[in-house]
Amino acid sequence: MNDQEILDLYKKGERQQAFNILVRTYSERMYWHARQMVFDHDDANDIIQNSFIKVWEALPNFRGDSKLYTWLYRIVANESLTFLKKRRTRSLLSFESYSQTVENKLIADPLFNGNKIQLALQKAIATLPPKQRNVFILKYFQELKYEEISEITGISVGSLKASYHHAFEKVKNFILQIDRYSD
Amino acid sequence: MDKIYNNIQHETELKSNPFSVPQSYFEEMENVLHSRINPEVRKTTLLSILKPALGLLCSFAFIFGIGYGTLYFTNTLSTDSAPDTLSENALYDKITITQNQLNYLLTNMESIEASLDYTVDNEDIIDYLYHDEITNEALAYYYWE
Repeated sequence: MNDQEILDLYKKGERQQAFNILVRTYSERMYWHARQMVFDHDDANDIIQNSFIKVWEALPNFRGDSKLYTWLYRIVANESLTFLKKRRTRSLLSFESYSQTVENKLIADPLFNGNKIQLALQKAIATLPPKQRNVFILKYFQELKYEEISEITGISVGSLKASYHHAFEKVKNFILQIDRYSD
Repeated sequence: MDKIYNNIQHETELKSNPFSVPQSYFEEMENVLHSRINPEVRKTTLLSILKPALGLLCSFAFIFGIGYGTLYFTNTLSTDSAPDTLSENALYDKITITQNQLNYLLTNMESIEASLDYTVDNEDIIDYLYHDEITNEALAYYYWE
């Protein structure tokens, strides 16, 4: 069932059924975006549930100006950014850097199965500011077009290209630096 | 070092998802969201319907009790303050009057009552002023006014 069919079903009054199909179709994709933003399963789970509750509440006002999945990405991205903002305020009291905290958590996390290189990449991503991290994940992992990312973030394509380039260079340098010390 | 650098450049190994989720997580997502969107309808009983009204009633009773108690224990609450319910003896208790004043009132009751009906006219005022040794000019002024 495509987006239009889901929306038509919703407008017909089959709200619950349409929403269930929407969750079935997009929850996995949205979850992985949230998970890559915050690294932890429980945090990603909270974000994704809150996001879908907002989707349920906002669906009657969805006008269809944008694609359904870019609208969903926007909600999940905003929810993730809000979460990271709160987390950042709390981590100001910590002596440990955020990327170090993320590394320690991932090493201990039974739901992280990455190797040394993947761990280094996650640690590098943790050093990016949240908005830049959002752009990097949407482009690098989710492989969205700049036009789609622009629709999600509200940032112009030119600015997004520059932002992604900076993020990529930061991640690359961070990983190379780790690799140099570990040799 | 070359291995990691090449990985970033060619986006092969790095793009594979290193994370996993608990078993049946995505399958259960629908039910979890459904329970959050449609919370279980609470069983309605007579008590649950009347509970807010009873709460309000108890609050009013409590506030009234506090107010009444305060007035009662500080002796500011009086039940015999209405004048029309006072007995004659109680009225005597409340009025402080000397025996001489009482005697005067009793002996001159008729003239007092007559004076209450008496209305003062201009002649009386002139008489009064005359006896108070007022000047003739002032008297003439008042009289002709």
